[in-house]
Amino acid sequence: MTRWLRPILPRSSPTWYAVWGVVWITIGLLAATQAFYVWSLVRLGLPLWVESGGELGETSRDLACVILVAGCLAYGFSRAAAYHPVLRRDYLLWLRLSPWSPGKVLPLGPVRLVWQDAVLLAVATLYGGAVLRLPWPVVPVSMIVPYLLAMALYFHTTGHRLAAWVLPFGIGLISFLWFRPGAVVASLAVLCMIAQITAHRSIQTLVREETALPRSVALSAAALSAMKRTSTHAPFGAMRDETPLLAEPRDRSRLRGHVAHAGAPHNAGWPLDPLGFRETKPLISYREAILFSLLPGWYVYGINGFKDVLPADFWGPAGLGFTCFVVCAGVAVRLLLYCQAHFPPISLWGRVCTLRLIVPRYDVVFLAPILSVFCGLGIPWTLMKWGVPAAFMIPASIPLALLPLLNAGPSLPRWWLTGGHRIATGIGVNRVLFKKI
Amino acid sequence: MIKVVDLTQHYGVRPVLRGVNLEVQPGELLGLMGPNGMGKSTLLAAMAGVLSPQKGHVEIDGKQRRSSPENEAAIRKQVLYLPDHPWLPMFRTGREFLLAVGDIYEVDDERLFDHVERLLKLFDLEEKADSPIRSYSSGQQKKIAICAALVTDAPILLLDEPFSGGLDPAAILALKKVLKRLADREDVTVVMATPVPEIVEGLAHRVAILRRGEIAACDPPDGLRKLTNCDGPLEVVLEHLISPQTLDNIENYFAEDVP
Repeated sequence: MTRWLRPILPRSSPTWYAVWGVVWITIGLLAATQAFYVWSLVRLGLPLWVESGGELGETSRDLACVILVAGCLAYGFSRAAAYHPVLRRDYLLWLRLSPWSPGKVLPLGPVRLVWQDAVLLAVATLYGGAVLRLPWPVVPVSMIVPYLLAMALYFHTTGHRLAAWVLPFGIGLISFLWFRPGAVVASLAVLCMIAQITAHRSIQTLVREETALPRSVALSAAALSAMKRTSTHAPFGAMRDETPLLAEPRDRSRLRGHVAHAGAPHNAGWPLDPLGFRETKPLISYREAILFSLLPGWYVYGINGFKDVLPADFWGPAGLGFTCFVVCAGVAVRLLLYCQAHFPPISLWGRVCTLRLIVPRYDVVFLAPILSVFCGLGIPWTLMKWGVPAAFMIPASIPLALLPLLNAGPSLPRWWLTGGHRIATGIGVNRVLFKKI
Repeated sequence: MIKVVDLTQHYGVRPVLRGVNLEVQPGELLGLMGPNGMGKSTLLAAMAGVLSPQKGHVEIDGKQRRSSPENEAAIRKQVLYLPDHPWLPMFRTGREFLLAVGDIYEVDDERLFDHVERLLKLFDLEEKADSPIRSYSSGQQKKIAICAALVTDAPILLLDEPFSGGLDPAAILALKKVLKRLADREDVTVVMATPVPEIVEGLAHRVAILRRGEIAACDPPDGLRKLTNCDGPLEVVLEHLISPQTLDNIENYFAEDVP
């Protein structure tokens, strides 16, 4: 049994241990709550196999449900995160330099779902549905959705954009099918099949082609020390001669990149890092920005799938509050990205004293946030006053707010390169890692 | 070539630079001098693209700074700016830091690894090369910052007080020789701000004097001597140009001393 389960059992990986820790704690807590429930029934002198229906039974059941769902979420995410080479640069580098080919089994463990996952899912679903009386789709959705979302991110990284967008939008569709468990299972199965097929091609792209890795991905300590050894103790030329696989200039460049960046995008301090930024293309294309704006709106619109069980005034004050929160958060994130360490050329006091209240070359950065507030709050509010249903307008307000934030100019690279700002140390410099000399 | 056109910069309501015009030819080593707070660092920062001047602009090799993303990206690759007090990554080793800087400037791999070794040796940092920068003395931190500037192979170096910050005499000598050679033989343009006339003399091809936010003079040291009708060392010539009242102030100080 253990041997059969080995592909999904923990390996020597901190992430894996952490996630499996959550899973085992979940199982332990589940067992403890059930034991406590049984013990309580015995103490109260109630028969074990008759549902009490009392307060104690409900509390115990609710707690078990929460733990089960949390465990499923953790497991789903762990299946995508534990063995994927995109999160482990040392592993990826090893795969690139080894004779491994995409048709073979991944040495650390499978990224795609395997039969063992199906068994685990079936057991958890049966337990959740039959014992804890959870709605049948809850367990499969909470286990598979995190997996699919993580896979969608990987697909996006490796350039498989179609699957990367189909998966999250497809997940949104599930809410409309919620009360038809068969349809939920069928749609999850279709999405899993898309993920299975694309995962193979995605890893192939990642390992065999030169996909740029996201710099935010942390480099593991093993890779770092290995690269450091390369840079400090071995003449680079000698290593090139001894290791034919590194003879290609792109390999050497990649290796040097690993050494220099050591998993972090900014590591040369101020002003070298901000002045080292030379990307001229927008970080997100218009098409992607539109899709990204639509996605959260689609999810919120999906709440309408539960309209039969929702309170009548669900989309009332709570909906507006949520829209305000989304708009404010979006505006704050955009301003933080654009204005951190890129300050106005003249202070507020200077503006007042010189009567230059508006500095067009700098203040252009505030146009998109203003537009976002107008589109995200002003338009929906007005249309709802005119009778457009809130159940449609509140979800629609999210893409309306996000579109200007993601699409309206100047793009981040254009702003960083040509904006009328001064590049300050400010909060752009991590004061723990960097010090002024 | 660096061309500064009608550059005006305010800090709040205080004007620091007023309509500064300056041209620096390729391969020229220009010393920026002037009293404290007269805008030397501000002028360098504007040339480096760290500041956005309220008026005027800076051109590098015919491309105007911040005019378009493509122009600015091309300029950034050409220009290295070392401020007086840069921020260094304290938990990285000196060698990692230099490699990272070389990576930012896309220096060829073979050249980068070799150059790092030679620079570490030149500035006597070989023993500390694999220690975190936080363990360096302030002089060694300044040295590694200078190494970072040199490892970029940038054709334009903008250095703000590169000789300050506790450099030892050997490092000062090494830096002087390297800068001279880069300018004379490799056509590297160097603009450096320094308050020390002895360093500028014999090193700079021209000296630009900033006074009250304007360029008071910009000539070779001999030209400045002619301008001031003073044959003494550059220090005295600069006193005439920068703060002519200083000599009188010294006389007054001693004259007013109560015995």
